[in-house]
Amino acid sequence: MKKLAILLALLLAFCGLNAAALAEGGSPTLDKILADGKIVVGCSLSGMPIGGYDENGDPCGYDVDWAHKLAETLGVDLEIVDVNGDTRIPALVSGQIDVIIANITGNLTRAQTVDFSIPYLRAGIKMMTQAGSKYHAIADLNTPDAKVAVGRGTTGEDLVLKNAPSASITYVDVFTDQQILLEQGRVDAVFEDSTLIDYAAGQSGGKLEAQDGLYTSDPICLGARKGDIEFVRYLDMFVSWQISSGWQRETYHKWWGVDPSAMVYIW
Amino acid sequence: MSYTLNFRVLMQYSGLFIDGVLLTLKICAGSLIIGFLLGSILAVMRQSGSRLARGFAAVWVEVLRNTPFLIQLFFFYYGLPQLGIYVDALTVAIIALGINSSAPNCEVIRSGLMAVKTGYYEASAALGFSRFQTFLHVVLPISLRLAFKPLTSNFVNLVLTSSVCYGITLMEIMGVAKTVSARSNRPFEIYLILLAAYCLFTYAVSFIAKAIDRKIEIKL
Repeated sequence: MKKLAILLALLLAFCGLNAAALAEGGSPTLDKILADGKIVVGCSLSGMPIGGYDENGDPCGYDVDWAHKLAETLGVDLEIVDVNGDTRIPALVSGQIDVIIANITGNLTRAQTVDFSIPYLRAGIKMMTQAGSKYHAIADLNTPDAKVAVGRGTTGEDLVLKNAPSASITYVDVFTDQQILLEQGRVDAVFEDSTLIDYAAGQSGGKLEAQDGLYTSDPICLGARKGDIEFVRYLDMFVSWQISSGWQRETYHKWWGVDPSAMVYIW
Repeated sequence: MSYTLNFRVLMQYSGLFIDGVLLTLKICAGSLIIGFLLGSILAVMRQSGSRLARGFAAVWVEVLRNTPFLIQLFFFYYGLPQLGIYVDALTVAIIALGINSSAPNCEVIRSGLMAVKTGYYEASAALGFSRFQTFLHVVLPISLRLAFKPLTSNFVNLVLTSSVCYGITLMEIMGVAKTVSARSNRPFEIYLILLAAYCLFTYAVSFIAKAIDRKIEIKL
């Protein structure tokens, strides 16, 4: 009888250990989000139609819609944190946010610190100047007389440093600052994604103009912390489903009024 | 959660950091001069007989002491252009910071002026000094030597407040830190260095100030 009891105890312990081992697999981030019932998303709320505030002071925009969709799909509450070019990655890495949906380009430099999902938007960098400006291309700005404003930690910054290194560069934190500097004539040109530039030029009442030409073709992706590849795979599938179901096309059309270029989906 | 400190990766940005420090020093030096001159003028105005001068100086000091510097800075840089007044960022920073520091400086110098007892005025009058001579040779030296220590503490505050100037696109030490942090993804190391740099600078200033103060202090 005693031997049977010991055997039973060992068997249960063995199962218990195995159960623990099985529970270790899986995504810690996803498990925590589901257990808390809340996902914290970092969005950039300083450039419509990507992200901004509506008349009630609530966040709205293309990225915000994606954040709501992600929360809805997981069945959890959403909390949006406003981040900029230089705070979004530290906020992710430190755990303040779970996902970056802040118009972040998935490039190889950042991929050393952040894992990216498949792209949910495609953008290229465009140049914006005052209306009637003599500067039309980035090559024109490669002189110390030309003043250019770029956001810290953006692909616009990388582009200007590479193609117009002699320009006088002014660093700002958010796109709205770039707009103010340009409108006040303190800078001659700004660089940001076409998605932001075209909207801003359109809204400026003729004061600002977007110069033709896309300088890059960038994949805009969701960003997640390294060390949880299962969560990134979930995000890949999530993005893919929104594309294949047509939701991405609908949402893009809602904010830009035109259809997006065809996006790749895997599932 | 482990994190490996990596200061070496920041070495490539050392040129930018040095430029940032130099710009901070430039801003602080400029606003120190403006702040001291304005502060002295305001202190004299507040002690003067004219009610207009006293009132103007009082309002000036109260407004500046009761509003945040960041808002004063944004007002000058982003606000004035709407009225058609355009000034470049460095000039705005120096003037705004100088004006901001003129308020505490005024109060400090004023207390120095008030500490000169009537006995000194009587003695000067007895010696045949004019009012201006009294001010120049008796009152001013005494007040400034009394006010020196609090003035240096105001200067230290000025240096710490200058970090806010990155908000008007200046690449002083904080502006450089934010840009380098975005490029290198090392905010912990960068802001640690910044904290150490400010501490070092203010400690050095206080040390020098104490040494000078020991030589020039007077007991009334």
